[in-house]
Amino acid sequence: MTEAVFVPGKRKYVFCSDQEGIKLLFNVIEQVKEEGRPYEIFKIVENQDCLELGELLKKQKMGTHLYVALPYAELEKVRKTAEEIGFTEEETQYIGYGNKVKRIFCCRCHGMNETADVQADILCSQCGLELSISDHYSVFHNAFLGFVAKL
Amino acid sequence: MYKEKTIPVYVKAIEQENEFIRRFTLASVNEELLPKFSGGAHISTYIEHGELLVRQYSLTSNPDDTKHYQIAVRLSDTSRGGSRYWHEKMKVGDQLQISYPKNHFPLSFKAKHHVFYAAGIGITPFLSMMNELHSRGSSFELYYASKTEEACAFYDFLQEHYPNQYRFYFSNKRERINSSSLEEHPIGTHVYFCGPESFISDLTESAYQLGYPPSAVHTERFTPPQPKDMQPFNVQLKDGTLVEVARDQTLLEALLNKGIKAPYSCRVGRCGTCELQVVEGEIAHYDSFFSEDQKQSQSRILTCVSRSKSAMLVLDV
Amino acid sequence: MKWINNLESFPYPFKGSTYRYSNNSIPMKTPLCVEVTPDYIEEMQLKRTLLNHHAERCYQSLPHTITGQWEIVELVIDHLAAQYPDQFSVEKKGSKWTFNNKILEEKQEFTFGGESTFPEEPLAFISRHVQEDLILMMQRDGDLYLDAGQLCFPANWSLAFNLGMKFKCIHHPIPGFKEEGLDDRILQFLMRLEAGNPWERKNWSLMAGDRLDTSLETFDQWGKLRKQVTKENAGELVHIRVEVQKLFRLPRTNGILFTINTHLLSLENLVSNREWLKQFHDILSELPPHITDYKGISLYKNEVLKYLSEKLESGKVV
Repeated sequence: MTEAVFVPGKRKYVFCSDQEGIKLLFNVIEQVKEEGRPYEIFKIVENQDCLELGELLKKQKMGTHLYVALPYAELEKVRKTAEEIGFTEEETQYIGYGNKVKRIFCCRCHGMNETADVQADILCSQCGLELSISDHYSVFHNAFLGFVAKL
Repeated sequence: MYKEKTIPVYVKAIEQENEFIRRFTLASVNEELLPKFSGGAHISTYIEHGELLVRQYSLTSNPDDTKHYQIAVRLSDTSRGGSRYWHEKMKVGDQLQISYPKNHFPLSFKAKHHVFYAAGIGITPFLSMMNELHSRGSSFELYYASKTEEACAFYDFLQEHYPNQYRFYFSNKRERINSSSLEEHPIGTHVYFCGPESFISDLTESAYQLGYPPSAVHTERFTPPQPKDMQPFNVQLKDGTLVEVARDQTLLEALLNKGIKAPYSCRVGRCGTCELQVVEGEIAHYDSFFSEDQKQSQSRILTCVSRSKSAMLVLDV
Repeated sequence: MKWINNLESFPYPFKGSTYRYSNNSIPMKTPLCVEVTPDYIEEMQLKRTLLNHHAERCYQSLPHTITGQWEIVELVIDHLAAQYPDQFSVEKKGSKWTFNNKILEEKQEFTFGGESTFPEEPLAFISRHVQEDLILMMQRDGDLYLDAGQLCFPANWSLAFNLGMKFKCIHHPIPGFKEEGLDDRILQFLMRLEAGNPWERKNWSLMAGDRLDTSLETFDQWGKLRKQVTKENAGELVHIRVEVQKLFRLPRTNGILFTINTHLLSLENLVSNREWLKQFHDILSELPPHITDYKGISLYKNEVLKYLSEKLESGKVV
């Protein structure tokens, strides 16, 4: 997701971001203020672990909506923390910014590769097979399938 | 035609739980083991009594007990024959057919905490669900409303087995389940409602108002949501046959009476087996199987519960 | 290797003169989740070699599937013992079970439901006794997930990649599947599957070569043969691959067991039946590109059609 969307009718809103990311949440925060709904903002500083955030999230009650805006690379660990506590897809929005790398699963050796350019074929860093990148995505592996580029 | 396989069983024991509720223990006629089941599962019971009485009852026994099943039947004031037969006619030793266990009310897998809200006989599906969570070591609570302590089914059982996980509400003591308890559930909670229609719809509405996501709200209706005003209508089949559906009759019943081999299974708008294509006419959907989009497409009907808004429906059958 | 020479036991998959994706499942007459064919010993040897040498490719599971795996062990053993009493038997003394595979002369004692009763997981154990690949789909929060499986003979897909994946995502690569609304309908069909009422279906594809283990992981090896098909060698080289798939609801966990029994038949054997030749020729000539592409036939479809046409012609002369 690249843009935060205001979801009306929640009892409370929690925003979690770094200094840059807060700009991406600005509009939604304004709307929440306008509606007069309770909210909380949690600022993340670079390379911070998720312990403190986890404590805050655990205290939330059902009906809370969570917004997270962070560099793509930071997003995953926050997502993991929130999911383990019980925030589901429907109760969260994750907005990434900056460089986005895709993870590519090698069809031959199951090695995991990373690439920024999804148009170009890559060589598997583990087994050396030339891989084309498909649009078949696994949430479980957080990766796209790379398949044999040349027979 | 799709017809589900059944298991022949006999009534092994009958116990009076309270004034209105009887518990029946069922065992296989061939002394074979019964299938295990999952928390929240039910069976269909088939009783020949002039007509075939098909009813659904939650399994209240231990899901791993394959020697017996237990069901609890409340004598319904408006019984159309099912619960009345169970209460007045059924004797120890009587035989009947039951379906394999089915589950339309499963536990959430991802929930971190489960909260059950029961009113009256609505307690029944929660017994096997709590059993499963308890054996898994998962966290849960029960909020249970009943008219009186005496009318409260499984009162002793719950006190004995889950002493720290229940809260009773007796209306004769002016205790009521208040939707404010929904405000207190921590994130990751899933709520389950079972009881009379108004009980379910009030709680569901409160949960949505607080911002609960739909997937965290689970409901079990023993009777499908009924149209307020049942109107008769006609259906036309591909070969031109006209079938009249009377006010007090379902479309499925009308088709079967006409000798049409319409498919069906659950009869409460849950399983989707009785789906038929609609070519013309406006459908009034009362099922809980189709998605909103599918309902809006107005192209398919579940004949066991849904009806027509227009005077005529044309079916592709 | 010639896997099937007996045309009568071949699960011929076609009806009519055209083929499209559909939910072609039918209720099973005899509820049997596994079958034992004359190739049993040969296929078990192949399967065990694959399981031993390529464990990660052939076996995957998530930790929450153990109870469902035991349900599969029970279902498979009960079916084997009931249907093939001369080949398999089971003795149950409470939770102490003794399973006897008389074909392979192996006897296994174990505690049903007990932890660490086998050196491997229950699903891995039982898969060493059946020709079928065994897939466990769990129904969680209103969707179906591939949460465990033993897969030695896949039709060009990867169990390791698809582990933990939702039903619709698994089928995402099939062109037209979503567009035609089939993913929704089949998912709904599967979710309403009931215990005691199993279903079965057949699925087919063509392949160059006669390997049963056409995994995605080894595609770079076996896929090359597609380029070598000519109308002269098609009869021998190209095989029709039919999967008999069976679906059972597992009542304890509300999961679904999906068994796949894979059959291969060379085209020259297939066309020895004139009706099949005619019908298969019609179907293949009419098959739209999105299906030939997905089934991996595009590269050599024309050569196969030439081969089939010649057979049809020569038949007329005779």
